[in-house]
Amino acid sequence: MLDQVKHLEQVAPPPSEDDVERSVSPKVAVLIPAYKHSVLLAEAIESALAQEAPFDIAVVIVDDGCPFPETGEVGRTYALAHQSVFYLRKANGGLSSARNYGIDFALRNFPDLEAVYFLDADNRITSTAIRDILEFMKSDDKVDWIYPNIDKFGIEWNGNYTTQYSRLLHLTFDNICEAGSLVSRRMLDAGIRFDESMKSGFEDWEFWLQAIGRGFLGANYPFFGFEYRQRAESMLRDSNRTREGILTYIRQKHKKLFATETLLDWEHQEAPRYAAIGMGTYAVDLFTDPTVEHAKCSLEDFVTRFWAAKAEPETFGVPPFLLWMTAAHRDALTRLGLIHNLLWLGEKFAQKHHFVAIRFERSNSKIGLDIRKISEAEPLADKPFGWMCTSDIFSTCADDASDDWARSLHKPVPSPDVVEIVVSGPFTAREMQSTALSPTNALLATLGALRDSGYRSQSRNRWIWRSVYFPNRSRYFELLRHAVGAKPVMPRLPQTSNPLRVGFLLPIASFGGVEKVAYAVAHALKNAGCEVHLFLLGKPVYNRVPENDGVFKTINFLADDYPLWGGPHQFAGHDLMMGHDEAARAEQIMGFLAGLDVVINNHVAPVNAVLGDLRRRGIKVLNYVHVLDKSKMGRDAGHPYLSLAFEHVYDTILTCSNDMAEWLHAMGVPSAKLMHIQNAASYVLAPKERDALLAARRSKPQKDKLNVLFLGRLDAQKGIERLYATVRDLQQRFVPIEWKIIGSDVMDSGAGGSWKERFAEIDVHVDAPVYSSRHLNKAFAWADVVVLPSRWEGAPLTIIEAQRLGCVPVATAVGAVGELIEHGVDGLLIESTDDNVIISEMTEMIAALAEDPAALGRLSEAAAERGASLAWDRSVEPLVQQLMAWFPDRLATRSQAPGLKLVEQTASPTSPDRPPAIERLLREPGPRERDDISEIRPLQIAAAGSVNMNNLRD
Amino acid sequence: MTVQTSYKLSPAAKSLREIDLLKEPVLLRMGIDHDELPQDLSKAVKILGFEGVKDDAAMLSDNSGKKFELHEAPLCTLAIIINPAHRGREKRLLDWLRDRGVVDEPPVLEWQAGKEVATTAVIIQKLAGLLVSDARKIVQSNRELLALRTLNDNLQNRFATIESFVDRQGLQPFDLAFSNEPVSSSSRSNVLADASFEGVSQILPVASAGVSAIAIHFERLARRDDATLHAQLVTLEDRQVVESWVVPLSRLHQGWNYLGLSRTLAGLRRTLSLQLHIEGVDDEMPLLSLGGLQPLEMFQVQDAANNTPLLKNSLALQVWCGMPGVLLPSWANYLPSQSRQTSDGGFREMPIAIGILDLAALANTEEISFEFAAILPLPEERAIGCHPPATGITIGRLPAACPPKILRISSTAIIDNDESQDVDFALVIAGDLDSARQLFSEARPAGAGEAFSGWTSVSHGEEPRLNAFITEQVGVWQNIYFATRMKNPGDNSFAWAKFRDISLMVNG
Repeated sequence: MLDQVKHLEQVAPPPSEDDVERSVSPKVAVLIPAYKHSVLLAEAIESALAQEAPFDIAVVIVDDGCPFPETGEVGRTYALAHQSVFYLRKANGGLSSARNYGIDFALRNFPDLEAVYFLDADNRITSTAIRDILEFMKSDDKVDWIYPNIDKFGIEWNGNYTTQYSRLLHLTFDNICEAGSLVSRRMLDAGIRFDESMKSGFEDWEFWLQAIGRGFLGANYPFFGFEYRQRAESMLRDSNRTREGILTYIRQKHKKLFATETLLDWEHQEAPRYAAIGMGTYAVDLFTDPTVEHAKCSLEDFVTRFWAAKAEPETFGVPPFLLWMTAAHRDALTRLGLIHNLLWLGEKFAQKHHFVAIRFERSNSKIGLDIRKISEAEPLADKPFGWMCTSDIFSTCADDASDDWARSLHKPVPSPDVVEIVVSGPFTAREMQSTALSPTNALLATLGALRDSGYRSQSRNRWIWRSVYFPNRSRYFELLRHAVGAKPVMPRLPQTSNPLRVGFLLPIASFGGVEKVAYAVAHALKNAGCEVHLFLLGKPVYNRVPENDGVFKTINFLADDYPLWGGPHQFAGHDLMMGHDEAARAEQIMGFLAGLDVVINNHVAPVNAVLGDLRRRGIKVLNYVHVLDKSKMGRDAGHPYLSLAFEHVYDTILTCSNDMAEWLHAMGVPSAKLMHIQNAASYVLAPKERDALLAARRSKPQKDKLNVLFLGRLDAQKGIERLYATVRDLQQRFVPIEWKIIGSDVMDSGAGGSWKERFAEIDVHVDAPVYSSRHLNKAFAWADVVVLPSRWEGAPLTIIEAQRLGCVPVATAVGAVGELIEHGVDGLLIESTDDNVIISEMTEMIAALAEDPAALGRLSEAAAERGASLAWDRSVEPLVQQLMAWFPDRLATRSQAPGLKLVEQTASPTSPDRPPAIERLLREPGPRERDDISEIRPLQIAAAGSVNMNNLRD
Repeated sequence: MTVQTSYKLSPAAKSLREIDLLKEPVLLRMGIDHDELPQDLSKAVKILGFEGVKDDAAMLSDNSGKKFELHEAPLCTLAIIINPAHRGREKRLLDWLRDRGVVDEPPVLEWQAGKEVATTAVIIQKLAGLLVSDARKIVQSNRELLALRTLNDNLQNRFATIESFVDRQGLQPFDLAFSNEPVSSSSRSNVLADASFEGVSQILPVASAGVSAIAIHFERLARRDDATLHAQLVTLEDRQVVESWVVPLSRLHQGWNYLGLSRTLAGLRRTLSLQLHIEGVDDEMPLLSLGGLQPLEMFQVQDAANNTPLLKNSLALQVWCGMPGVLLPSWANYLPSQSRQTSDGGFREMPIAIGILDLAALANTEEISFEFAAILPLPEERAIGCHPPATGITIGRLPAACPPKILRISSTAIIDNDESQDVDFALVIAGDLDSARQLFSEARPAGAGEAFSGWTSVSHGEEPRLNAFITEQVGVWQNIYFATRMKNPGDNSFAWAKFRDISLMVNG
């Protein structure tokens, strides 16, 4: 052994006696795990001993139970010969455990330790590496590990890893940080260690993910001096063979890091997707979400980056999408909650067309989008308010010999392929004013700046000599898309306060009951502290309801002719789509809905196909079911059946009635998944105003005529033939009634012509539909009675809104109507399903009320009391409690009440002596038993011949 | 008393007892008091008592009976000596060692009165076994070296054949690998004039392997016979100067100037940085040509002093590549490198590597003692502190730091405190401390392979260069000794004496 020591003295400078006595106080420990690299180990140790550094460096060899005695001999010999070398042995536990063992040893024994370096036994470092990288790390307090370029020997290859460190790249592309990195003590003190259960590779990747999760950042040092021994087998490491399995484990372990919102945030910080080039100022904003604090640069810097990215695309990048629009116009879109949607659409169209023009139109009644492909038939109408394009197309323009092609953007029909997005909304007059510099001029000026730049000449030469491995830095948005399975990804980031983000999905935004309920629930959730967003997948128009202004943080239009029904697959007689169907547009929908915590689907049939993917990504998915529809032939159909088909993708199914909850339960949906949200009036009415209207009703002088109101679509579902017959019969009996029928015809050939005209024939005028709360209040206040002779319903808001103002409902007992009216107490119910019986009973009831003002008054008072007892904040409370249970830290201002999840447990606004409807139905066989229902269905079917699936129309 | 602090003077904050056991062979005793063992045995090897295992750590006791925890298995346990009455208890210790990956169990020897020699014989037997094992490894290493030499010969012969073929056929490549053409600039910035004294640097866009020559372009040159261009090619991954040039400005001309390497670079690929500065010109610096605007900051021409860009351009340059490891073809018209010139018979001044400075230690420990480190490596200053005693001399040593065939050793002597009295400095090259001591005391002249600079008195603010010439070269590595003493013995306060920039001159 002594001879061996002497032998070593000839290889390395011999330690003097004094040297042996000198205590070692290392700042850096080089950790070398050793297993079966017994000969190459000496090379690694020598490279560590050869370090030229003005501080002590310890070399810690961790023998991970290597079965080759030679490993021990080499380790022991070096430890005896060099004061700074330590040889540790342990039972075999894999690379991770060996590294952890070394870390713990170093932390325990070296009080001055500042960093550790992981050197695999078959690799090497140059003699200045540790000194240089420690200095580099200490030069930036935000950096806690330094990773190298990969310089391989054996199979020689040099990889360029010199781009600015990106967590997005690190998670979605590959492990860009070699284990042979310098790691700060701060990171180790934070408890970050290698996962010892990972024995098939990528343990280093997982190690860095832990660091990222704890807020640490790495950096590349381009002149590191790391030498990686590449041999044939190491190119096909086990980890590459089992890559997918290991990655699945890593993704599960670091779910939060792989969440869409996390990746989006990193994109925003590290590789912003959009560059908004200011007009006049030529300041450039770089962002993914423009509403979040973001980087800015001068146009000169942007031009430099642009050409750097052309020359070294894997190292330098520019945002892949460029936008020319004033900050004021961007602010206007932000104010209307449209900015993210516009960028999302702009991105989509910019990849299909050369340029995207953006124009505003002023409208106080709606917010909407119109997509126009520019051509001779449809030229650009006016000066655009903005332009968008990809940086690729702009790069081509910059390289082009002439800029004539781009200059034609000034013309009504430019040479490039242009699509125009027309945004309608309540823009202010000031927002509609054009600017001194047009966006077209700004675009062309930017192009001129690029073309005239002196940097342009260097773009053809590559100066970085190492090989390309990383993807194009300007295309990280594609990594994001791939990682989240979405295309494009909605560029919306969480706000700093990180409220719970709930998306309401609607097919259209008109004035139907489904929308009204969705808006009301959104309002209640907003009051509970959620941030609510509206997603319209059908016609890209939101008919504005002033009461709802400010409820939704954003309004989002898919604007893509999305089929709202159908598909190539069948379930219980329903056409439906699956996620893999092209028509499902899975990637597009995933991108459209990206960044939400909760999605509530309100009767958007095809979106069910992709909701499973959303749920797998940690988003809570809810379905809101309102009504069992009828097919043309009278078969039960509609969204409740789709809910059965896709039940597994829903965390919870919301219903507007106990009746619907019971139906779903009976059809196989577990009660734990069902939640009844009691409907309430769709719009807010101040108590003072309500009291005034009720007082006016009570003090109204006795009239000789009863005021009867019908409010709704003039179609078979609403029982329009029954109404017509009733009106006619009452006229024939000379019952003193004044009719007000408010609604519109539904264009349907099966309906037998216009109902408006037919009512006119019997001298009853049909008024146009009303939507505002003021007009609705006026109608209900006028009416003594509201009639709903419907063939099927959910839980009609009309009944609740009428009752609130003391207007007595007379309605067929369909759907959940029976849950809203207690017959003879606060309204009148017609239980029959026979048209003739219904007409007869309704005629009798109205006639009776016309003759008995006292009875009418009693019913009116009770109705008003019932209507006043319903409120959305109370109805939605079970849902709020559920959200709090799912996201305990996101609705912190609210206190959690126990156990409100089950339908049976939900609070009922009905009077205490009335048992919950579902319980009553379960234990009290009565007139609404299933047999009865089955008997009446054929009649309903017969009467419903003209009705299609969509009950959402006015 | 001199007050002097640095990180080197701070004692380690924690006892290193545990890691001490990772640095030397030990004997473990069980059921035997330390005093029961012969004193000679405990002088020969460290002996520790095994007390048991607690919380996964072994509890050991030293010769005073003080207990301490041990987490790692000792580096080399020669044997476990056990009181026969405690036989069986060693299992716990052996299990603990096994759990820590110790494969070769140490022998367990019973310690009985009258059988000490037999027990010691077993230990000797184990040591003898290790000796034999090591001898075998050395033999094997020699065989491997022989095989490598043979391989090297074969490669040499093959290369010679290829070289001869390439030369005969005129196939030697010398290709333009990269060109950044000069562009005329309205500003005509003179980067050499704008840069600090260290000049300019430019990272090259081509990997080191294969690089034969670098061409730089001058737009304007002043005819100054006494001025020189100094160029260096440095690898950034390991900070090696792979080539250097000193060219009189008179040999440069307007347009491209080719700086040829002594051999085309071979080996692992590195990043190269070309560093240029002019000596002997205070005004009218030559005007280096620039390439076009460079969007990548890393490749913009930099000030060599701080690596910050001077302009947004790169230098105009060309990189020529050839066959790795061979000389440039004779037809290439280039300026030869400094190393080519010195290899033709010149001298080379080699600074001592910074890593070597760390090995500096006090040599005459028996003569002087301080409460702090008298010899203090200061690598960041490229210096070694050598604090003189009030009376006598402090001798420091750099072991085996002087290679054969050196001609001269030099160092700058400084005192880094203005309150210090004058200090005498001297350098010696010698084989051992006694020889060095004789030379420092001027008891005899330097012999073969030895050198002595003589004593030089230094005041604060002076920076004389000490030189010691070797009288006769010898073929072995020698130690470097350096010494200080107070010019006027008595007060050594603040005598922060330092040897800076120690360098060796070699021939060829």
